[in-house]
Amino acid sequence: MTTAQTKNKTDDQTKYGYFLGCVMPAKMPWAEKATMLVSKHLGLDFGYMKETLCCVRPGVWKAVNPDWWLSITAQNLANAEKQGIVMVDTCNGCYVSHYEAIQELHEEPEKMKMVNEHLVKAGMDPLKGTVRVRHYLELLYEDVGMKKIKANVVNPLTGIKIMRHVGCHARKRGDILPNYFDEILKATGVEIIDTPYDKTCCGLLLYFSDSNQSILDRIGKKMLTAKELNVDAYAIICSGCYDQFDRAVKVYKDEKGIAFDTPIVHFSELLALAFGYKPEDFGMMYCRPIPTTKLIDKLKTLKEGKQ
Amino acid sequence: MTSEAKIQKNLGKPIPVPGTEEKVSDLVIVHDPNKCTGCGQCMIGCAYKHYKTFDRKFGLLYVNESPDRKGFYVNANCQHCVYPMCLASCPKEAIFKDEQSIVRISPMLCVGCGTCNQACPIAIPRLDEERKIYVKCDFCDGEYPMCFQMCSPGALQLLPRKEAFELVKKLRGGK
Repeated sequence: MTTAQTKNKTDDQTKYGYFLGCVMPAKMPWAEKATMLVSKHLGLDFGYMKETLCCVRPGVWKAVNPDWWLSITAQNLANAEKQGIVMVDTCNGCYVSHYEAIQELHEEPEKMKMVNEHLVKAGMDPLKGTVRVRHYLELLYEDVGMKKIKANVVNPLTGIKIMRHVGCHARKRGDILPNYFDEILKATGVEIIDTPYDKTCCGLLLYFSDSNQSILDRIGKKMLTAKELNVDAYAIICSGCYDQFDRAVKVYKDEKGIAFDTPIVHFSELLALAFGYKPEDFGMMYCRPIPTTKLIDKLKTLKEGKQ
Repeated sequence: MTSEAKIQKNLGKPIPVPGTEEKVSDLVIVHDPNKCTGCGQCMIGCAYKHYKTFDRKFGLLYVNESPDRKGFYVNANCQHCVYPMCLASCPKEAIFKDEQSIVRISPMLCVGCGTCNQACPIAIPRLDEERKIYVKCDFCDGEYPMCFQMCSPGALQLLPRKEAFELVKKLRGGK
């Protein structure tokens, strides 16, 4: 099926269209499921976006050719616009690509003309520029609101210590998204431990350039700090960053003989747990390089202690 | 990048420096270490723009973790100075200011002696090992600089000289 065959909005199409990206369905099925559970639980009209292409990571493609990047990214925007949905990204890389592209197209009518010429050649409808791109954090904080999120917390995760990683692209709009992330995490009841490496990049962007520095000097320092502080989990937002965490676990084990035991969890999972879902409801114990057994056991013990 | 604000993307006419006969580029790139995550995307973007490789070592600006503070990243990028020390020190007169006041090294005249690197307070010119000459930032020929375009956390800012000066003053605690 080509992009030209994009369907118009159908009855089963939701208001918010979830743009999954590449890593989420491949490596983080538990986070995908938890995100869907949390969204439905909060009453959001939330479903998968149909007919998506690669987000086209701006960090690579913008340097190669900004016009190529813009034209390829615009295909996702055009699809979302045609389907009449608000495009929602959980991956910071996808978000920044779509967000920057639509912003640039609004600012520069000539680029919009160029992109539309390419879209029409590909058999697609031209882009009007009415599509909205939102990060999942924005959806939760701005559309649902902290009041409703807090009201849905029936199982506060009190006693769980976490470190958190926001990711570079989530800082695109300054401190807005990092603050939303912190507020949402606090609502689940976890204790956030601050460290000097909180702001540091996961290293994914450097991986093309210098794999050693990317693993040992960026993500490695974060993971070693988590190990040293013996936190219960490392909370993340972005599936791109998760890919790097996943890689670091293997590299450290194979090359340094260091086994990390701090599970990397998506913040949707923490929300789902706080909303009363069980780990098995979203497969929290499967497909992970670092098992979540210790975290799940601690949650059980804490729950029994409360009762 | 301050995403919401409209920014000037290309160099305009060089501006005169009061009290001197010198001119200087109207825009300059400033780094805010409080925002830098050390992702290295600026160096990678620069390397691709100039050398068609993603190897950050080919970049013409440099970001490193501060030796004094964990998780704090500092940068060195060319400021295209009013009185460039690199230009003054070059024994072959290979360094010049062009009509946009971009400080450039002529690859035809440079002999790779490295005096410019020694003279620059932040050691910006670096040796191009293949060509055996020194190279430095050319402000992407006055166009929208790639390093700035690549910076998601907004640590690199493309500012008019006056605003840049105010920002640096603020970052230094008013000094």
